Amino acid sequence: MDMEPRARAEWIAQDVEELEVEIEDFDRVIELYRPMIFRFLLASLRDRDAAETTTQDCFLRAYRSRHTFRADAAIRTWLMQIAVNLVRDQGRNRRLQFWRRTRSSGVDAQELADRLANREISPEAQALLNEQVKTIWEATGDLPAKQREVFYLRFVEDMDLNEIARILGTREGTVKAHLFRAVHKIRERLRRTS
Amino acid sequence: MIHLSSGQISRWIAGQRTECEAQHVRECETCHADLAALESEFLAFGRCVREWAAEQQKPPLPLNLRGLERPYLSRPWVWRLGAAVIAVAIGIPFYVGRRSGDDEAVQKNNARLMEQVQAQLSRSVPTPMEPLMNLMLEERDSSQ
Repeated sequence: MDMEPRARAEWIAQDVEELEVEIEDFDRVIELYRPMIFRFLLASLRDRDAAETTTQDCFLRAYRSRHTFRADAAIRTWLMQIAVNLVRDQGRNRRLQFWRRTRSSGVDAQELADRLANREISPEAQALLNEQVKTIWEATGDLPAKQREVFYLRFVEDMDLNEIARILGTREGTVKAHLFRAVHKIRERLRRTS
Repeated sequence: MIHLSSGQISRWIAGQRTECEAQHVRECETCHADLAALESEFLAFGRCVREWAAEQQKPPLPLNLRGLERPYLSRPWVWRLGAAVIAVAIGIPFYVGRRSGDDEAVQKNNARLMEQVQAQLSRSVPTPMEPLMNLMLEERDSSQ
Protein backbone atom coordinates (compact mmCIF):
# COMPACT_ATOMS: atom_id res chain seq x y z
CA MET A 1 0.00 0.00 0.00
CA ASP A 2 1.40 3.41 -0.92
CA MET A 3 2.14 5.80 1.91
CA GLU A 4 2.86 9.49 1.92
CA PRO A 5 6.61 10.06 1.40
CA ARG A 6 7.18 11.73 4.76
CA ALA A 7 5.29 9.10 6.69
CA ARG A 8 7.17 6.38 4.82
CA ALA A 9 10.51 7.99 5.70
CA GLU A 10 9.53 8.03 9.36
CA TRP A 11 8.63 4.37 9.23
CA ILE A 12 11.95 3.51 7.58
CA ALA A 13 13.92 5.49 10.19
CA GLN A 14 12.08 3.61 12.91
CA ASP A 15 12.82 0.29 11.20
CA VAL A 16 16.53 1.06 11.27
CA GLU A 17 16.37 2.01 14.94
CA GLU A 18 14.47 -1.16 15.73
CA LEU A 19 17.15 -3.29 14.09
CA GLU A 20 19.82 -1.78 16.32
CA VAL A 21 18.17 -2.14 19.74
CA GLU A 22 18.89 -5.25 21.79
CA ILE A 23 16.61 -6.99 24.25
CA GLU A 24 18.94 -6.42 27.17
CA ASP A 25 18.66 -2.67 26.73
CA PHE A 26 15.11 -2.88 28.00
CA ASP A 27 14.72 0.81 28.76
CA ARG A 28 15.39 1.49 25.12
CA VAL A 29 12.99 -1.28 24.10
CA ILE A 30 10.23 0.37 26.10
CA GLU A 31 11.01 3.79 24.69
CA LEU A 32 10.97 2.51 21.13
CA TYR A 33 7.95 0.22 21.20
CA ARG A 34 5.63 1.67 23.82
CA PRO A 35 3.80 3.94 21.34
CA MET A 36 3.12 1.03 19.01
CA ILE A 37 1.88 -1.26 21.77
CA PHE A 38 -0.27 1.45 23.34
CA ARG A 39 -1.76 2.34 19.96
CA PHE A 40 -2.69 -1.24 19.17
CA LEU A 41 -4.16 -1.78 22.64
CA LEU A 42 -6.10 1.48 22.55
CA ALA A 43 -7.64 0.58 19.21
CA SER A 44 -8.40 -2.95 20.37
CA LEU A 45 -9.71 -2.22 23.87
CA ARG A 46 -11.34 1.14 23.10
CA ASP A 47 -10.49 2.38 26.59
CA ARG A 48 -7.63 4.69 27.52
CA ASP A 49 -7.12 3.50 31.07
CA ALA A 50 -7.26 -0.12 30.04
CA ALA A 51 -4.80 0.55 27.22
CA GLU A 52 -2.35 2.23 29.61
CA THR A 53 -2.62 -0.55 32.17
CA THR A 54 -2.34 -3.29 29.58
CA THR A 55 0.65 -1.58 27.99
CA GLN A 56 2.41 -1.72 31.35
CA ASP A 57 1.38 -5.35 31.71
CA CYS A 58 2.76 -6.09 28.27
CA PHE A 59 6.21 -4.76 29.08
CA LEU A 60 6.14 -6.32 32.52
CA ARG A 61 5.45 -9.69 30.97
CA ALA A 62 8.06 -9.10 28.29
CA TYR A 63 10.72 -8.14 30.83
CA ARG A 64 10.09 -11.19 32.97
CA SER A 65 10.24 -13.51 29.98
CA ARG A 66 13.01 -11.75 28.08
CA HIS A 67 15.24 -14.80 28.51
CA THR A 68 12.84 -16.67 26.19
CA PHE A 69 13.23 -14.13 23.39
CA ARG A 70 14.92 -15.70 20.37
CA ALA A 71 17.13 -13.45 18.32
CA ASP A 72 15.76 -14.87 15.07
CA ALA A 73 12.50 -12.98 15.66
CA ALA A 74 12.04 -9.22 15.71
CA ILE A 75 11.46 -7.60 19.09
CA ARG A 76 8.47 -5.83 17.60
CA THR A 77 6.89 -9.12 16.56
CA TRP A 78 7.52 -10.68 19.97
CA LEU A 79 6.05 -7.70 21.87
CA MET A 80 3.01 -7.62 19.64
CA GLN A 81 2.41 -11.32 20.30
CA ILE A 82 2.27 -10.54 24.01
CA ALA A 83 -0.08 -7.61 23.41
CA VAL A 84 -2.41 -9.71 21.25
CA ASN A 85 -2.57 -12.39 23.95
CA LEU A 86 -3.38 -9.78 26.59
CA VAL A 87 -6.23 -8.44 24.46
CA ARG A 88 -7.58 -11.95 24.01
CA ASP A 89 -7.38 -12.58 27.77
CA GLN A 90 -9.40 -9.47 28.40
CA GLY A 91 -11.87 -10.41 25.69
CA ARG A 92 -12.61 -13.64 27.54
CA ASN A 93 -13.40 -11.67 30.67
CA ARG A 94 -16.99 -10.69 29.97
CA ARG A 95 -17.45 -8.97 33.30
CA LEU A 96 -14.57 -6.66 32.48
CA GLN A 97 -16.15 -5.86 29.15
CA PHE A 98 -19.40 -4.88 30.83
CA TRP A 99 -17.73 -2.44 33.20
CA ARG A 100 -15.58 -1.02 30.43
CA ARG A 101 -18.67 0.00 28.51
CA THR A 102 -19.83 2.12 31.44
CA ARG A 103 -16.54 3.88 32.04
CA SER A 104 -15.84 7.42 30.99
CA SER A 105 -12.41 6.56 29.66
CA GLY A 106 -14.01 4.89 26.64
CA VAL A 107 -13.19 6.14 23.19
CA ASP A 108 -15.56 8.13 21.02
CA ALA A 109 -15.36 7.80 17.24
CA GLN A 110 -15.74 11.57 16.83
CA GLU A 111 -12.43 12.13 18.60
CA LEU A 112 -10.80 10.07 15.94
CA ALA A 113 -12.47 11.83 13.06
CA ASP A 114 -11.53 15.25 14.46
CA ARG A 115 -7.91 14.36 13.82
CA LEU A 116 -8.50 14.61 10.11
CA ALA A 117 -8.76 18.41 9.89
CA ASN A 118 -7.08 19.24 6.62
CA ARG A 119 -7.20 22.66 5.06
CA GLU A 120 -6.16 21.35 1.68
CA ILE A 121 -9.50 19.74 0.95
CA SER A 122 -12.96 21.21 0.72
CA PRO A 123 -15.28 21.17 3.74
CA GLU A 124 -17.54 18.70 1.97
CA ALA A 125 -14.68 16.34 1.26
CA GLN A 126 -13.51 16.80 4.85
CA ALA A 127 -16.95 15.91 6.18
CA LEU A 128 -17.07 12.83 3.97
CA LEU A 129 -13.62 11.72 5.12
CA ASN A 130 -14.59 12.28 8.75
CA GLU A 131 -17.67 10.15 8.26
CA GLN A 132 -15.68 7.38 6.59
CA VAL A 133 -13.12 7.28 9.41
CA LYS A 134 -15.91 7.13 12.00
CA THR A 135 -17.63 4.36 10.10
CA ILE A 136 -14.44 2.31 9.78
CA TRP A 137 -13.78 2.80 13.51
CA GLU A 138 -17.27 1.64 14.45
CA ALA A 139 -17.17 -1.21 11.96
CA THR A 140 -13.85 -2.53 13.25
CA GLY A 141 -15.27 -2.45 16.76
CA ASP A 142 -17.96 -4.89 15.64
CA LEU A 143 -15.55 -7.29 13.96
CA PRO A 144 -14.63 -10.63 15.52
CA ALA A 145 -11.37 -10.35 17.46
CA LYS A 146 -9.12 -12.05 14.92
CA GLN A 147 -10.41 -10.02 12.00
CA ARG A 148 -9.98 -6.82 14.00
CA GLU A 149 -6.43 -7.79 15.00
CA VAL A 150 -5.44 -8.48 11.42
CA PHE A 151 -7.03 -5.28 10.16
CA TYR A 152 -5.25 -3.10 12.72
CA LEU A 153 -1.90 -4.77 12.23
CA ARG A 154 -2.21 -4.35 8.48
CA PHE A 155 -3.60 -0.85 8.16
CA VAL A 156 -2.62 0.91 11.37
CA GLU A 157 0.75 -0.72 12.04
CA ASP A 158 1.54 -1.23 8.33
CA MET A 159 2.80 -4.77 8.90
CA ASP A 160 3.08 -7.23 6.05
CA LEU A 161 1.04 -10.40 6.02
CA ASN A 162 4.01 -12.63 6.84
CA GLU A 163 4.77 -10.73 10.04
CA ILE A 164 1.09 -10.68 11.00
CA ALA A 165 1.00 -14.45 10.58
CA ARG A 166 3.99 -14.83 12.90
CA ILE A 167 2.41 -12.56 15.50
CA LEU A 168 -0.86 -14.46 15.47
CA GLY A 169 0.82 -17.85 15.26
CA THR A 170 -0.97 -18.82 12.09
CA ARG A 171 -0.39 -19.19 8.36
CA GLU A 172 -0.34 -16.35 5.86
CA GLY A 173 -3.33 -17.85 4.05
CA THR A 174 -5.37 -17.66 7.24
CA VAL A 175 -4.34 -14.04 7.71
CA LYS A 176 -5.51 -13.24 4.18
CA ALA A 177 -8.82 -14.93 4.87
CA HIS A 178 -9.38 -12.91 8.07
CA LEU A 179 -8.35 -9.72 6.31
CA PHE A 180 -10.66 -10.40 3.39
CA ARG A 181 -13.65 -10.87 5.70
CA ALA A 182 -12.74 -7.75 7.70
CA VAL A 183 -12.33 -5.59 4.61
CA HIS A 184 -15.54 -6.91 3.09
CA LYS A 185 -17.60 -6.18 6.21
CA ILE A 186 -16.14 -2.70 6.54
CA ARG A 187 -16.87 -1.97 2.90
CA GLU A 188 -20.45 -3.14 3.36
CA ARG A 189 -20.79 -0.77 6.30
CA LEU A 190 -19.29 2.10 4.30
CA ARG A 191 -21.72 1.42 1.48
CA ARG A 192 -24.70 1.47 3.85
CA THR A 193 -23.69 4.78 5.43
CA SER A 194 -22.71 6.58 2.23
CA MET B 1 -15.41 -4.72 -19.98
CA ILE B 2 -16.24 -6.70 -16.87
CA HIS B 3 -14.98 -4.95 -13.78
CA LEU B 4 -13.80 -6.51 -10.56
CA SER B 5 -16.62 -7.69 -8.33
CA SER B 6 -17.02 -6.46 -4.78
CA GLY B 7 -15.53 -9.70 -3.52
CA GLN B 8 -12.58 -9.45 -5.86
CA ILE B 9 -11.90 -5.91 -4.68
CA SER B 10 -11.98 -7.01 -1.05
CA ARG B 11 -9.69 -9.94 -1.84
CA TRP B 12 -7.32 -7.64 -3.69
CA ILE B 13 -7.02 -5.39 -0.63
CA ALA B 14 -6.43 -8.50 1.48
CA GLY B 15 -3.54 -9.54 -0.75
CA GLN B 16 -5.37 -12.29 -2.60
CA ARG B 17 -4.99 -11.44 -6.24
CA THR B 18 -4.58 -13.42 -9.42
CA GLU B 19 -2.44 -12.50 -12.37
CA CYS B 20 -5.58 -12.06 -14.41
CA GLU B 21 -6.98 -9.56 -11.93
CA ALA B 22 -3.65 -7.74 -11.79
CA GLN B 23 -3.67 -7.46 -15.55
CA HIS B 24 -7.21 -6.08 -15.47
CA VAL B 25 -6.36 -3.48 -12.82
CA ARG B 26 -3.43 -2.30 -14.92
CA GLU B 27 -5.74 -1.84 -17.89
CA CYS B 28 -9.01 -0.69 -16.29
CA GLU B 29 -9.06 2.90 -15.02
CA THR B 30 -12.34 2.41 -13.17
CA CYS B 31 -11.15 -0.55 -11.13
CA HIS B 32 -7.79 1.09 -10.57
CA ALA B 33 -9.54 4.20 -9.23
CA ASP B 34 -11.90 2.16 -7.03
CA LEU B 35 -8.98 0.30 -5.47
CA ALA B 36 -7.01 3.50 -4.98
CA ALA B 37 -9.98 5.18 -3.28
CA LEU B 38 -10.50 2.26 -0.94
CA GLU B 39 -6.83 2.08 -0.07
CA SER B 40 -6.86 5.83 0.51
CA GLU B 41 -9.72 5.49 3.01
CA PHE B 42 -7.89 2.79 4.93
CA LEU B 43 -4.69 4.80 4.73
CA ALA B 44 -6.44 7.83 6.23
CA PHE B 45 -7.92 5.68 8.94
CA GLY B 46 -4.50 4.26 9.86
CA ARG B 47 -2.96 7.73 9.97
CA CYS B 48 -5.82 8.97 12.12
CA VAL B 49 -5.41 6.21 14.65
CA ARG B 50 -1.65 6.70 14.87
CA GLU B 51 -1.85 10.44 15.41
CA TRP B 52 -4.77 10.26 17.78
CA ALA B 53 -3.20 7.45 19.84
CA ALA B 54 0.01 9.48 20.15
CA GLU B 55 -1.99 12.26 21.79
CA GLN B 56 -3.80 9.88 24.13
CA GLN B 57 -0.64 8.34 25.49
CA LYS B 58 0.35 9.61 28.90
CA PRO B 59 4.02 10.08 29.77
CA PRO B 60 5.36 6.67 30.69
CA LEU B 61 5.83 5.96 34.37
CA PRO B 62 9.45 5.17 35.15
CA LEU B 63 9.56 1.44 35.38
CA ASN B 64 11.70 0.10 38.19
CA LEU B 65 12.90 -2.89 36.25
CA ARG B 66 14.56 -4.44 39.26
CA GLY B 67 11.21 -4.33 40.98
CA LEU B 68 9.74 -6.20 38.02
CA GLU B 69 11.96 -9.20 38.61
CA ARG B 70 10.04 -12.32 39.42
CA PRO B 71 9.92 -13.08 43.14
CA TYR B 72 12.74 -15.40 44.09
CA LEU B 73 10.40 -18.13 45.16
CA SER B 74 8.87 -18.30 41.69
CA ARG B 75 12.17 -19.08 40.00
CA PRO B 76 12.81 -22.75 39.23
CA TRP B 77 16.50 -22.62 40.05
CA VAL B 78 15.69 -21.44 43.57
CA TRP B 79 13.61 -24.52 44.20
CA ARG B 80 16.28 -26.82 42.76
CA LEU B 81 18.95 -25.23 44.93
CA GLY B 82 16.73 -25.50 47.98
CA ALA B 83 16.08 -29.17 47.29
CA ALA B 84 19.81 -29.79 46.93
CA VAL B 85 20.55 -28.01 50.20
CA ILE B 86 17.89 -30.03 52.00
CA ALA B 87 19.21 -33.26 50.51
CA VAL B 88 22.71 -32.43 51.69
CA ALA B 89 21.48 -31.34 55.09
CA ILE B 90 19.65 -34.65 55.57
CA GLY B 91 22.47 -36.71 54.11
CA ILE B 92 25.29 -35.36 56.24
CA PRO B 93 24.02 -36.69 59.60
CA PHE B 94 23.45 -40.12 58.08
CA TYR B 95 26.95 -40.17 56.70
CA VAL B 96 28.49 -38.90 59.89
CA GLY B 97 26.39 -41.31 61.93
CA ARG B 98 27.43 -44.25 59.82
CA ARG B 99 31.09 -43.26 60.09
CA SER B 100 30.87 -42.86 63.85
CA GLY B 101 29.08 -46.21 64.06
CA ASP B 102 31.93 -47.85 62.22
CA ASP B 103 34.41 -46.19 64.50
CA GLU B 104 32.50 -47.36 67.52
CA ALA B 105 32.58 -50.97 66.42
CA VAL B 106 36.29 -50.77 65.81
CA GLN B 107 36.81 -49.19 69.15
CA LYS B 108 34.84 -51.94 70.86
CA ASN B 109 36.90 -54.56 69.12
CA ASN B 110 40.05 -52.82 70.14
CA ALA B 111 38.90 -52.58 73.72
CA ARG B 112 38.00 -56.27 73.84
CA LEU B 113 41.36 -57.17 72.40
CA MET B 114 43.11 -55.03 74.92
CA GLU B 115 41.22 -56.73 77.71
CA GLN B 116 42.27 -60.10 76.42
CA VAL B 117 45.86 -59.00 76.14
CA GLN B 118 45.75 -57.48 79.58
CA ALA B 119 44.26 -60.61 80.95
CA GLN B 120 47.00 -62.67 79.42
CA LEU B 121 49.74 -60.38 80.66
CA SER B 122 48.35 -60.22 84.14
CA ARG B 123 48.25 -64.02 84.53
CA SER B 124 50.66 -65.31 87.07
CA VAL B 125 50.77 -68.60 85.27
CA PRO B 126 50.91 -69.03 81.51
CA THR B 127 47.71 -70.49 80.09
CA PRO B 128 49.21 -73.86 79.07
CA MET B 129 50.34 -74.25 82.71
CA GLU B 130 46.99 -73.52 84.22
CA PRO B 131 45.69 -77.13 84.38
CA LEU B 132 48.86 -78.17 86.33
CA MET B 133 48.51 -75.17 88.62
CA ASN B 134 44.90 -76.03 89.34
CA LEU B 135 45.83 -79.63 90.12
CA MET B 136 48.51 -78.53 92.55
CA LEU B 137 46.08 -76.18 94.27
CA GLU B 138 43.55 -78.96 94.65
CA GLU B 139 46.15 -81.34 96.19
CA ARG B 140 47.28 -78.66 98.65
CA ASP B 141 43.72 -77.97 99.69
CA SER B 142 42.94 -81.66 100.14
CA SER B 143 46.09 -82.24 102.26
CA GLN B 144 45.22 -79.40 104.64
